[in-house]
Amino acid sequence: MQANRGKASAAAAAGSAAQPAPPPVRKGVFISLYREFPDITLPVRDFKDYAIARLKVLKDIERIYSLDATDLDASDDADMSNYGQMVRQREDKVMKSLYEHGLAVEDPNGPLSTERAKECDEHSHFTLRLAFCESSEKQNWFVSQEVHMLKAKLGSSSAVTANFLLREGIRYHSMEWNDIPDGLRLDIYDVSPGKKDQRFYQVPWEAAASLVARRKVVLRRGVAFVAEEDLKTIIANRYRQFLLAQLKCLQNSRHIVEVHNDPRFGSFVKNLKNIYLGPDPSAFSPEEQHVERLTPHNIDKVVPRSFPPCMRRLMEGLRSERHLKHWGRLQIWLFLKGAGMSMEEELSYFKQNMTLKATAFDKEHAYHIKHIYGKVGHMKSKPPYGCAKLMSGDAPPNPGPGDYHGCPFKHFDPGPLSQLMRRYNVPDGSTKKILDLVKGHHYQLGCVEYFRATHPDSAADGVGNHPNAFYTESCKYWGAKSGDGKVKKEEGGPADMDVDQEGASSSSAPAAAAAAASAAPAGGDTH
Amino acid sequence: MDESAESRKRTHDEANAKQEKPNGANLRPAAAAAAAAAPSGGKEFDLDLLRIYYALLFPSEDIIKWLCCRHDPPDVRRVTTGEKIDPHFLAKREFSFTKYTDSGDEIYIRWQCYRKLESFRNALKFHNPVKIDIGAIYNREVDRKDSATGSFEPQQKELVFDIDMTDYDDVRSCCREANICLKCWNFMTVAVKVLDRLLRDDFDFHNLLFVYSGRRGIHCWVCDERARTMPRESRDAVPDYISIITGTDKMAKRVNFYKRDPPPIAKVALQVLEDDRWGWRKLMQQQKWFDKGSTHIDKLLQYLPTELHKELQRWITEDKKYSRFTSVELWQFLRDTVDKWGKVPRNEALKRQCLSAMSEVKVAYAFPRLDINVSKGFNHLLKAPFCVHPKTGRVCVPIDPEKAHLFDPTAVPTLRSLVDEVDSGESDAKMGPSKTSLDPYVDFFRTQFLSPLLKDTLETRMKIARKKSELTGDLSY
Repeated sequence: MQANRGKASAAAAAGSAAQPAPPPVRKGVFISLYREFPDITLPVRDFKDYAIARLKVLKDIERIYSLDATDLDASDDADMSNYGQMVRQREDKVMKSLYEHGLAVEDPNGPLSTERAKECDEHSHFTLRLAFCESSEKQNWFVSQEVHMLKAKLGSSSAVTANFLLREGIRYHSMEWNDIPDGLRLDIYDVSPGKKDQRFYQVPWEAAASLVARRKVVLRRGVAFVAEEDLKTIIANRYRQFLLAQLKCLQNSRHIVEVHNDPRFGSFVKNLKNIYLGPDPSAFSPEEQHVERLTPHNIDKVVPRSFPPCMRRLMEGLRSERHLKHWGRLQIWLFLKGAGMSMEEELSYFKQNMTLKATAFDKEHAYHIKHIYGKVGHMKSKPPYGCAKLMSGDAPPNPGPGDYHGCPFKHFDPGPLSQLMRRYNVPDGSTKKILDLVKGHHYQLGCVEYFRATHPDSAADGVGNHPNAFYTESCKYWGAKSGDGKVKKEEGGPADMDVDQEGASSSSAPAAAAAAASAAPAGGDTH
Repeated sequence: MDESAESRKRTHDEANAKQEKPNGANLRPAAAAAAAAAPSGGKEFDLDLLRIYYALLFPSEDIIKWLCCRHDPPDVRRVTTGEKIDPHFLAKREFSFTKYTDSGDEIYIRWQCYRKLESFRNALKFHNPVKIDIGAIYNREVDRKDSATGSFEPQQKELVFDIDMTDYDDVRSCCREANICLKCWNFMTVAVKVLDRLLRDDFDFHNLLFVYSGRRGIHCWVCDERARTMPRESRDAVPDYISIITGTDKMAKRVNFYKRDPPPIAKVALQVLEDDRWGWRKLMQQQKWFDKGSTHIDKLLQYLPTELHKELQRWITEDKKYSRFTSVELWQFLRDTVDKWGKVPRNEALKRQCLSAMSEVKVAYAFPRLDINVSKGFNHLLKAPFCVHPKTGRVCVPIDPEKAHLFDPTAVPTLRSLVDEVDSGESDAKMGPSKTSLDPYVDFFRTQFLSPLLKDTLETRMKIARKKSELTGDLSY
């Protein structure tokens, strides 16, 4: 990704100098793209406390956004005001978490000094970079929480955002609403009627990729016309790309080994990353939860009873067509694996239940099934898809005609969804609740409601984030009903945050470690 | 050095070939199947013919020049411009082959790479692949994929699009699945024209190569330097932007403008559909969607606002004059009705709603349907132009978007016809492909695509270099 490509940048540098730039800032909140490493020395104790504080905030952010991971698609709906409100609510929650854990100061007269909050925010960011650079999965997790955090910090004031851009040296040519040529203005109005009368910025379309993907901006010869209120998205895109590039550099850097071997905080840093993921998908495994595992023998009984609607539909698709398309196969295979089917059972089950000739099956699908069990190729067992992934629209993509994969709550119109619910014997009252939830984009809550409707008097613990969690919870429920005694109490809360195993020792070394973090060459930056 | 690299690679290939082989007992005799599928009479596809094709007709040098993006290998003649050349560039590009073994099994070999044009030619000779796929450019040579420390990751790749006729099955009345005819090919004409305009006008890409996939679809390669070097986020945004048709068949409407004017991207398509040579009118005539009795009429009704919905239903059921009607007549009725309403000022809003709904229908039925997974990310390989499709024997030839409406997939040169031309023409093998019906296609590739591309790539690089030196320290894009 090379810099200086835009047509706008050079011209804008001159143009923007003329604009008066009163610096509206958010007091007590440190907003940064973390391009430079803070050169300070601090005690190991603080080094660790800061890191843990930030990790807690990131975990909070994950929770705040996981209830409904579909904020992007939601904006297609006509109900924009509600959507805006939802965004603001979430950002407020993130801010609250930042205040609570000392990464920002809410009350300037309170006990926490702004300097200390800034130090905490800045340092912890670089420490966590060290902890999360290891694999692309961890990098992605870290980056998406960080991006949410940045957006929350920028808040809803476009003045703060515009000022932040200026401070970061990012300059785009801009125009007043009334100066936009007529034809273009009409197109802009068609794309985003709610955004007129704002200043519009001419941004190279690549920088506005996420807006382009949703067709929320007008493109002309490679230039995107971005409303002031959307500048935040531009910053978020840049931050995401920049941070990912930095993490990749760090991942390949020799220094990371030195950090992990440091006697004072090496294992601390190494352990940090292990507590981020929350419940491991394997935690839903029947073995772990002491429920009966899924086999080809009990599957016909279990599908209508305990499969979440997404998987039940796939099984029905398999029955009726004796075939499933690529993403459908992947979704169901992974799920069945998570539900305890062995590789051999899965192979023979699908061989029997697909129209393909046995030889063709072996040629086309057997390898794939073995692959997800980690028996060939990469030799790593692949975790089943969670709800967020199924709804993301990005691998697995949103279903098209003839597809059975995805999430019915998200991907069905109300009509077909209520038909489905009726077919699955959901009482009308519950169906109505489900439809209301879905209308408000609470697809996962819709699934929880489905669980409650089909499992009377159940608390639906842990349901709504992962199809396999739905499955084991359902098995537990029916196990308890039949009283076969196989069900034991669920154990283990969220991972223990206290990873501080080594005694605190002296001073400036953490700074050195974090310096290694910043030593990642700036090649990934957009210099 | 190149010798040893070549031999090292060869063993690497063989190891790979072994690895990729599914377990021995269950192999499909693919070559036999392909031969059987060919039309009776002279087989359109044959491995011996293919060998001749690669030796005499396949434009290897042009393909390699294209894929090198000016970082030409030593045995390709180039014009020196003083630019910095990466001598390992070609070796960083992944190629893969589908080939038939001597026993007739189909195998797939990935992770091939070449350091010279000559070694690419030799590989074609050695493997005689039925399909050549082109992948990404990686951060180091592909044959050193596992041999060095540090991650092996794709860095660049052309932005590609794949449009397959099977995705139109729910709106195709003439053929199904793998079959195509000139009628349904019109969908592809529209797709090429729309895609061409969007990529040029909206994204400012200029070096586009449209290719017939040899059977039932088209590929589009966007080769601008900017497109090739895009990071993942921007790369994925393009197919997302373009795929305006969403949802499953569980959705009543697969396109929704929310009663407003069509968005700019749809306006482009609607403009393309205005042309009667391939546009909406022609499509309706060919596919007869809204002829009396067609099931598509119900789908159409679901798009229309209540007032127009009722009016149309009345027209269909009550008006005896139209006991039989064609799609064009039905559409004309809708337009007349809306025009009539529009004359009354207070109906302005209703008119807009109706026009919006009618645009939705046009877009839902005729807008290009992309297989977006092919376009997203760096991982997907795509068949090289000028390959021969083993099922049809047709060569994957480039399509000029300006003349896409004149393209006839059934008239494309086939492997058999080309070799026949060679046989009946000059016996001197060294004459190369200069006297066959493949000529115009190779010429188009060379003069209309490759040479502007190389020129543009140079200009882009010089521009970037200039800007860099002018504005060091400027962080903006």
